[in-house]
Amino acid sequence: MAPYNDLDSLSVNPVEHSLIPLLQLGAKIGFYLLAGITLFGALGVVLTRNLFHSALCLAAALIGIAGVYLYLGAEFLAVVQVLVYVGAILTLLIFGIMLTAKIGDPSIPQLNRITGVAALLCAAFALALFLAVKHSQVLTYSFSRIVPLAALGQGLVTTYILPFEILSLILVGALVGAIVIARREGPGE
Amino acid sequence: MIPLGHFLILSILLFCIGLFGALSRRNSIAILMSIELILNATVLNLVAFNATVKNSPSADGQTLGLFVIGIAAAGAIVGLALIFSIWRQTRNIFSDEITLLKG
Amino acid sequence: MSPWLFLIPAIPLAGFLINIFFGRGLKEWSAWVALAAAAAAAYLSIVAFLKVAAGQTLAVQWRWLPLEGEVFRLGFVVDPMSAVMLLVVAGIGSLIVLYSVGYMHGDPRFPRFFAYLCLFLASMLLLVLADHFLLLFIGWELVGLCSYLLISFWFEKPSAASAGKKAFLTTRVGDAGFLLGLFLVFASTGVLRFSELHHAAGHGSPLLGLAAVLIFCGAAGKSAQFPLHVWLPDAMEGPTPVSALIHAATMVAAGVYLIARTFVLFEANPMALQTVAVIGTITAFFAATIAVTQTDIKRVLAYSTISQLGFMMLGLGAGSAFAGMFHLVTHAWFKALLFLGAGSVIHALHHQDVTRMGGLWRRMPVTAVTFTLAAIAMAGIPPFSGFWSKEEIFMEVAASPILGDGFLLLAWGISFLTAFYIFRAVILVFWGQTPKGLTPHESPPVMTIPLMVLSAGAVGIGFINSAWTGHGFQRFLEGISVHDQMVGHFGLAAHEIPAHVNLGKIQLVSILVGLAGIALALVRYGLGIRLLPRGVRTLLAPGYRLVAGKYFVDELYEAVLLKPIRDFSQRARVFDTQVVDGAVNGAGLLGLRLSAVKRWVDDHLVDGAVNGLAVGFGRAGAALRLIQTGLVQNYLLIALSGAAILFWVLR
Repeated sequence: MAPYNDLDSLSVNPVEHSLIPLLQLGAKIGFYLLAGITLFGALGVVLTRNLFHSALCLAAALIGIAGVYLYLGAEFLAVVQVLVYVGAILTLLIFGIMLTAKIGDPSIPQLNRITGVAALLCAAFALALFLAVKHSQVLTYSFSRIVPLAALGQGLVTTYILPFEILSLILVGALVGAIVIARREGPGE
Repeated sequence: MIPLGHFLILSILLFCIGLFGALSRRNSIAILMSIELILNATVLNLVAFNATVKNSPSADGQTLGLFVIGIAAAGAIVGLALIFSIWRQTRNIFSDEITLLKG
Repeated sequence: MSPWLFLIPAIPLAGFLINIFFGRGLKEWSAWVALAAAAAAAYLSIVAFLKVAAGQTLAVQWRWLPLEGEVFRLGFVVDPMSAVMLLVVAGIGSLIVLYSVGYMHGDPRFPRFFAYLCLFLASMLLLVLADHFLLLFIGWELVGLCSYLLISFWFEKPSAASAGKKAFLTTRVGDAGFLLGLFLVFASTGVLRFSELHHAAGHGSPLLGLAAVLIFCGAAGKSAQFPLHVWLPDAMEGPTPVSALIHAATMVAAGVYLIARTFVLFEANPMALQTVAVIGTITAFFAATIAVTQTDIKRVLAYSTISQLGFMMLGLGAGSAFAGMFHLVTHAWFKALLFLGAGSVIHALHHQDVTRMGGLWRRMPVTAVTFTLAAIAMAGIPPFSGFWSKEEIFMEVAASPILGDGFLLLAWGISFLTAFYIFRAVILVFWGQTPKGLTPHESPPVMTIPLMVLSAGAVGIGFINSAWTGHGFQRFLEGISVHDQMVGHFGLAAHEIPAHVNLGKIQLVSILVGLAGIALALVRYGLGIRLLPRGVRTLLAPGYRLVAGKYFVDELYEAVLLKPIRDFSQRARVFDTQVVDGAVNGAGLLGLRLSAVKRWVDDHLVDGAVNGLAVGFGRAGAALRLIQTGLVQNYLLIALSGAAILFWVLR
């Protein structure tokens, strides 16, 4: 359910009138909470020294984003996000971490030499994009509707059938390629 | 009502944090995770605009987002495989010590 | 709409494709493929003609280019004029394809020949059917191409190869004019469709007059009018059926057809009409005089063709599209017949020199009779076909308000010469004694049947416009035109002849000059009486040499156009070898001396500099190498910095 759209539809119901501001406030607080979780998770990913903690922070950020999707009427995508990212990719990453890195050794620096320049550049980018958004017209648009899940499904098997099929090919190719790359070279090794 | 701008700003911040991570983390797996953050910022943008565009009965933005997630999964798989391969040969996953491309 | 019209050119085109791709496998059968295609086209042409004769105008159009809101259409139209041309092209074409089966027998490139013939028929029919300048131009260039291919069909002969080239290049000069005229028409009126031309050209602007003259340039190139006539005699290097079909009956008449098609442009501009008439007369007269002196039978016929084409132009220039078209039709029949007869003779004797022929009528009766019939038709003796059309031209010339009496006298002179030279050929070839050591025999039926069919046409086709049939042809061309195609002044109807023109007198004189020409030929060549005293002959000898040398037009072109170019290239070569090479060699020597000096400088100064430079580059490279760290994140950082700079610039 997209809370925000439901609240709009509630506004035509006179009986519930008094509850609306309260609910809207709650929804707003929920959003900023989710946004905060996401951002802090993201910062954790890039800043924590322990790689395992990084992965957990990434999980928090991904779930936060899934929550934000709910505000945008994209329930299906939220579910996919949780399943694919949190369920699959993150698991894979954690396996990767455990198989390779010496985690938790505080003597190893986790940031490289260009960190300072990179931080400056990213801040500049953020500022530029922020200004671009601030001055653009899209801010005047309003949200309009719940995107019907059926439209998504229909699109996948009609308009986007070709990209969809190609995507499945890519996934298979990536799978096979990954196996080939990561496999041990020979029986003796 | 949460204005569109807030979604976009969230997306921008997420993107730039991911960018910073991709630029400055030493650990290859951390770089991979940062890239996932960047991709998520993109998907968030797509989904936000999909909910915004008026009077269009399509779910194009979400569909594209779905594709991006799929591609991201493929990318993560291949990236991890490469990291494994390098790990097995050099016992090293620190990006600033892997300089096979040095001219 | 009659979409089936497209079949008329499409079937020969299909024949071309079949023969060109499968000719090797078809072998002798390729001729029958071509014949079937030609016959089918002829059948459809007859169907179209009958429909037109019943009062219909057939037309079909296709969208070609959508152009700024307006759709550019190309299409076919069969109105009386194109119906007549269709019959001539497809009918004579079929007969000549049949004839070629015998004539080309045993040629190593037999299928190729029939493929070209089919392509020619397709393009010529396209040209005839076109309702639009552009489509006509496409057909026009295609027949030019076919002409080139067929003239140099026996390209092993250097003369044939160069004749093909000459034909192509000479007609190209005219085509350039045609194209310019076409542009001019489009620029000044905005239309290219013939049916719309009429409204656009209503009042003659000087610009359209110029366009008409330029279009006439194209016609002059194709129809071998002076001064672009030089290619046609050489074109006789091609196989004889080709000479008959392309260089006598159909393609060379395309120029006449083009002018008749765009006659509204000419009518509105007396200047343009006069140009046509003057050029036509000059061509007709001077080609006729040359024909008198030639000894190669095909060249006699070639010059006669040029002369007759000039005659048609004269008819057009007199203001009557009908007179020109009528002579075109009759000429197509008797000239094709003459060529095929000549081909039959050449086939039997394997040479083309009339002075080494004679007495063939006993050996080749069919050829002799049909050839003679055609000769009579060409001489303009009633009731053969040539008489009717020539008389029509005389009358139009006499009645024309823009042409003086001199033109009529010249026309009679040409008619006299025509009768004289053609009977000279008849007598030299078929009368007298057979040269020793020759046993010529009559050609096979596949060749004589077309001769007989054509001779029927050569004799009788003129009646379509006799007084007894009520000037049917003229009324047909003028009257039935639903499409508003060619509503114009088509010449004077019989009842409109002005008072000062004495019809009876003109007819009488034209018959008399024809008979006089025949009589003179009989006396001179039949009886062998030399008419002029020796003294007069020596006096006239230079003149004779001038005529026999074809007025040295080729030599004139050689001297005025080609030789200067060649001389200039020669000079340029001398300049090149002496001055430029000298300069280069001198520079080389100087270089040697200088280099001795330079060597010292080199060793001591330059090497130092070069080495220094190399070291410098090495250092710079080493410095640049630092950027190439192998650290992926550094690359990414650099790329992002670039993006940031772009942001800043494009902000």
